Amino acid sequence: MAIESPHVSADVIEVSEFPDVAQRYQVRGVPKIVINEKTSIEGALPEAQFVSKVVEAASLGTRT
Amino acid sequence: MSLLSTDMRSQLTDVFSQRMQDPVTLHFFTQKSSLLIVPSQECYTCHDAGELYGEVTSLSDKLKLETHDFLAETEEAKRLGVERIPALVMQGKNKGAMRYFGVPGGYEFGVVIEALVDLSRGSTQLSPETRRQIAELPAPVHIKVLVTPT
Repeated sequence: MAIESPHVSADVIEVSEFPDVAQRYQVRGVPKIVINEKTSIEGALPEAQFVSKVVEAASLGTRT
Repeated sequence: MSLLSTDMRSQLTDVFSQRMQDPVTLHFFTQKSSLLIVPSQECYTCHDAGELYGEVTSLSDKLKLETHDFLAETEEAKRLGVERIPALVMQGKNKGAMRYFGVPGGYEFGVVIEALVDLSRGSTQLSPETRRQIAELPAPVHIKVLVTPT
């Protein structure tokens, strides 16, 4: 998605090297995906469902 | 001693020669060796990450490795969104930022290789519907994928 859009940034973080990150996001299993610090997903999702979560997270950021 | 096996180097050379299109730059942020490093601030995996990226980029003239000292190049690190090391910022035909923090091991190594190929081609395997939704995002999205070596 980051290839396609300037509005998407993507980080992959090896939490075994950064235990503070694992603790911050309470990682119990991987992969765990965090979007805009508010939406989290545990495990892999099919593309359509993942995109729905991305859109939902983006929409949360526009609400006042 | 090489981190990549002879067989892996051969496979990667083939993948890169057959599928890479345009150049990709790998900005690698690390800790430069110094006698003054405080033990609690030492980056234990930076050396391995540097070795790995050095070996990978040596297999294609379309891959360029730029190594940055995280402590000396704070403005550049901030500009590229690097807050911890080892960090890889990949730049090719991507419109948004793509970064990898830590050493990509196991399955994640393949993910990085595929990302480099996609960046060189500007291509993805996303569906048309996904592309439409991503193009219409109402606000920026920062996706963090938390993984462990497999």
